[in-house]
Amino acid sequence: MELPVLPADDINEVEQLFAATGDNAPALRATTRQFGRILTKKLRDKAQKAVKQSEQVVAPPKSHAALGSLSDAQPAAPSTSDIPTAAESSAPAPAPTPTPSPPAPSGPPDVDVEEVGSVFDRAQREGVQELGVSVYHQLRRMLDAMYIFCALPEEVLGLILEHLTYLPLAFTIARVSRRFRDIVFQSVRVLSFRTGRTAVVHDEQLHSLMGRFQLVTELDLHGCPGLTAPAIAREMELHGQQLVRLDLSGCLVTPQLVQMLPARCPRLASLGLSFILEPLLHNVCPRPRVAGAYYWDYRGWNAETIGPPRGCPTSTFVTTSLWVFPMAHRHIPFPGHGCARRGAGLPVTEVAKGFCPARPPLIGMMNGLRELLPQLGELDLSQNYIPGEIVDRLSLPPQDPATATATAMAPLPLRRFYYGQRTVIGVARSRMQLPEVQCGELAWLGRARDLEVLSIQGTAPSATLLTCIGRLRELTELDLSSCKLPRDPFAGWDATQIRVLNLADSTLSDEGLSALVRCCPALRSLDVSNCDKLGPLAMDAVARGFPVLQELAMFPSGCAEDFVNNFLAGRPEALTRNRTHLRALDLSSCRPAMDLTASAGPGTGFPQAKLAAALADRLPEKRRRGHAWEELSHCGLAYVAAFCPRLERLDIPEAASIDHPERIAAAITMAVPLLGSLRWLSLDRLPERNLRALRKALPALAIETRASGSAR
Amino acid sequence: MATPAAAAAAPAPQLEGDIKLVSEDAHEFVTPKNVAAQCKMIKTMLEVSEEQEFINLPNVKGKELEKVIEYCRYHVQADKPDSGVSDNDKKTWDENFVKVDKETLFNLIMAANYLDVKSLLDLTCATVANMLKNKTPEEIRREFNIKNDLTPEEEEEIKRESAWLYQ
Repeated sequence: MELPVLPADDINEVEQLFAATGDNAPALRATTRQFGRILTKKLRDKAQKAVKQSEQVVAPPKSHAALGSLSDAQPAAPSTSDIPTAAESSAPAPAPTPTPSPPAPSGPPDVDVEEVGSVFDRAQREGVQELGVSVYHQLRRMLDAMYIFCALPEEVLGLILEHLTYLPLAFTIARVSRRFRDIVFQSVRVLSFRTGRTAVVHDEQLHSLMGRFQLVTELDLHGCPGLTAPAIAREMELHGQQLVRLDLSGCLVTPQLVQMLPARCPRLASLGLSFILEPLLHNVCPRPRVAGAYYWDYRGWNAETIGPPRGCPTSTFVTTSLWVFPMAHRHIPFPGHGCARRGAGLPVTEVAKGFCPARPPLIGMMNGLRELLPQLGELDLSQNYIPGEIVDRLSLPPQDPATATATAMAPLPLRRFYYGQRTVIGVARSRMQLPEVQCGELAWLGRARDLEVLSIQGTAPSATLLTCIGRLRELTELDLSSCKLPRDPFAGWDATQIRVLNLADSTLSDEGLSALVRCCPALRSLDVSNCDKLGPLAMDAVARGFPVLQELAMFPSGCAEDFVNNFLAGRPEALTRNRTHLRALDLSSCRPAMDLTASAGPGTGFPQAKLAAALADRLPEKRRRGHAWEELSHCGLAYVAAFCPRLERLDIPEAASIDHPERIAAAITMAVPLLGSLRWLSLDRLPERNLRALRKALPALAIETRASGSAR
Repeated sequence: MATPAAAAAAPAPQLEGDIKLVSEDAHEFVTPKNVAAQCKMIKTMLEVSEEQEFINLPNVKGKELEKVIEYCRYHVQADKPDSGVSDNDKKTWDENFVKVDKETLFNLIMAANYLDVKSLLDLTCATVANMLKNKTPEEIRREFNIKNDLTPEEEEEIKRESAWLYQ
């Protein structure tokens, strides 16, 4: 028989009552009594109607049934037999008994079983057997659950507590009971102050923590400026043997401390030394006789790199979040890992102070690097700039070029250098507030003769800096995307060697693009998409120049209406004239056809079709691959077929369904025989039926379909 | 269709057919061997002797065993590369799976621990750990009926040590 379910609010009330009881017996007894009172009072009212209705029918049989159900439920209640103090003699009878007396339940010894029993008894006598049984059952389950939690084996409790990594929480649990305390202090393996950090850790606190948590193998002191180096050194003496990972980023690290680590922490596999104070960097750089190369790599430092230097042991230096602060600044505002991003109580003035170092930080960095890795070939310092949010609130005063020039040093033999903020969202919006990269900060760039790849994405390079860049003879790839460019960015350039140029989302103007045509004639790949300052002259400029261009992206993703007008006025046909090398043209961001039609006047037709016609006019013999059309219509497809007979690859993405899929499918079936070179067709969201028909009609063609969810 | 079947059979040829699992309270569950083998403990037993028709699980009750099998069955299905179940779906399913009363939850932990289903053990332990969050020690004691056997001095000591954390 199914047990009746107690109404939800009653269960809550029972639970609340028992939750408030705690573990002391008098209180529990009182609660049980209260429980009985409430039960009888509340349930009587509720059950009265039911009892009245079935008064004649139900008397003894109902009671039996209720009891039967209770004893059925008993074996399901687990651990009953495991409870050592359970009253064996009063265990419930396994078979239903006709006696109306309640079975004395076994349970945790603290609970007054008799009281519960009498409540149950009274409930029965009041004629609410079912509800009484139900409530009793509920009670039993709660008590059992409580008991089981205490009975969980040590290793399982340890597992549960391992999920509680937040330090104050560990201490809270430790105060619950002796058993919990011992398990908590034994189960913490990782000591970290990153999450939920409210207080500053000082020497004595670290000492007491390390004394408490004896089995810690990973110590993360990331951003604990309150610690002193001697104190950390002392802890390493005491507990360094067991450490596998140590992060000292943002601490006041001294050279002595770093030099003693290999001896004190023989198992160390990862050492974090990001965010250390700038003047220390020179000193921390291990002399060749001390150790090999260190990575100031956020992802850790491999113990294998300790050892005698082998000439130049590393050629790559990657740090994704390096922040350098002036020495005098005692409290380091710690922006890594979301603290500052979430605006967690860091006063803005403090951040501002931290971000106005007296000297351009990079030069100090570079000095240290030069000593450490004289043959460094690739350096990635991107995202080391000020995050967009802070830029929005602060404006950085220009740095003093005089000091900067004075401290400039011989450049590293870098071949690839990445700088600027790559992934900071909102750069475009705050472009006007981008911090200016003065020539001083990157003054050494002008003498970095080996530089081949340079990215200063998301910055505002000064005219002088750009002039320096223009003189780099080996530079082949340049990324100026999301940059705020000066009025005449390419003045004095003669960069015939640059092959790849990314100017997407920048403030490039028509004049700038015209100058580019003059000074970078050998471009293979050009990205000027989303440059909202580009006007109608841009198309002509592109059309006239870049004779060996292979890849061009020049469509805005948002595509403002005036740009569309400008674009159409610029006559895209010109784009493809004499284009003997063009392999890929990204038109994927074309806006809906109606916008373009409307802005171009009636009769223009679909721009895709127009473009396809324009392209096809000049491109039939060329290898054109990787085309994607958005909002392609069946008649656009017909144009493609008619004018691009050498098309090898056709990609019709998900958004292409301007037309009914049947019509698209029909158009493809008609168009494909005309496209003799077509090898690969990609379709999204074509109904299965149409697809089958297509496959049947075109057996030689590789048709790829992507499910709408897993596209891309 | 032949290829995936062959691929599945290749790494674990002994995991074909069904196995009968018998719980402590004599409930019987006929389960595909590959589902049952999600439990490391059963997998080991299957590897030791392939001939047996049933496995007795004296420490697991029928109710929990049913839940464990439900969990294994879902994850065997969902982990197939062509199942199309996203990680998010799995997470939602897991969340719903542990929405049970405390008794069942603790029994599930014990069962997962005994049967050695690591992912289920992690899931259930994390659920209990969540119950402990944002509570004072006194509240935890009440919730789980734990007796405070720390002397006031000991408690005071821990409190003093951690006082700076709550500043």
